[in-house]
Amino acid sequence: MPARKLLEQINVLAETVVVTKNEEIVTEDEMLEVGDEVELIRVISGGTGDQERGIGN
Amino acid sequence: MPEHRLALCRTCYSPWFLEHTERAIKKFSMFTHPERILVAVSGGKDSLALWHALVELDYQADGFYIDLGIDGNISYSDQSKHACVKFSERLNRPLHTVTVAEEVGAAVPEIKDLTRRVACSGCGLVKRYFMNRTSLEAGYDVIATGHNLDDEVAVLFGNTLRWDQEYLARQYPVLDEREGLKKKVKPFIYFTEKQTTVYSLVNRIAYIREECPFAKGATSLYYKDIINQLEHQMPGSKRRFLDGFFQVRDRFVQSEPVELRPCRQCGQPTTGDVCAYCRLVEQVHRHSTASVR
Repeated sequence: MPARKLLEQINVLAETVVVTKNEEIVTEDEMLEVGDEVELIRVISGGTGDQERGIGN
Repeated sequence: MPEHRLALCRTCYSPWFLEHTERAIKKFSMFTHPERILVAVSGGKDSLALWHALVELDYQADGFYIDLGIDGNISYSDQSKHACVKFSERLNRPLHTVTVAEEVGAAVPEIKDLTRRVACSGCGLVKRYFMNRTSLEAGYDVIATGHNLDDEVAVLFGNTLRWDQEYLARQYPVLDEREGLKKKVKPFIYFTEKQTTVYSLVNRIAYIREECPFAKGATSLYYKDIINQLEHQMPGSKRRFLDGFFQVRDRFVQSEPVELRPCRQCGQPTTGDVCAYCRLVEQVHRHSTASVR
């Protein structure tokens, strides 16, 4: 099945992960076969402590 | 990349990414090649990718790491510092470091406990202070941070929900130098987190994948989730939201900018008599002394 279908099945948005197949980055259109080693690398990081909050210190 | 209607192979990805980094630098007049750039690095994918990209583009970019002293049962700060030091060696560029515990008298988790501030609030304050101070002391022209499109859109979303005019006025990829405040820029303003991650992976950048333990439950993560759902249904929404804001941002900027003066204690710019950083240090010392008694 395409990687996109897998992400839909496990309810993960394509925008939030990079998919690798057998240690190679693939697009969501890539076909995944039985026996492929698939990793989803999370891309979202949080915390905005160093964003601008005011002027000066 | 549905928002660009584009799919790139591994070989073409880095040139595309570097070209778009350069475009953003030029579009917002961030800096030029003769200028010295201090890149604030955390060990995460965005800041290390930014440092890498700027060096690839032949800019004079050096690193700046702040040891926050956060453990979180994952040795978070130790890991992040190690990643930055190793990356500095790989790029063969200097890395400046500051340790919060040595400067303030307490690390970020202790600051949180002693001052009853939210961790990200004290952390943000000391980061902004040290970035500015180090860039001035070490003679850099500009400070660059790795904030990406998702970060900026999440902040814009929050600022708009509250219609916070002061923060809206300050949200821009370039904040010009003024009265002791160094120029600050965000060259990755138009890259999604997915795009910076792919750049990091393609270039084998050894970034730390662990999240800051204090980011758990952060409002920004909730906003990012909502925005990614929107982007999934309507590709390009993030970029349209941010660019649309840039077109109307002037309406939030005050005609008379707030006056800055040197802090009576440390000399760094502030709107008051004593800056927020010096007040924080005083507060930490007061509470540390009280808890020892």
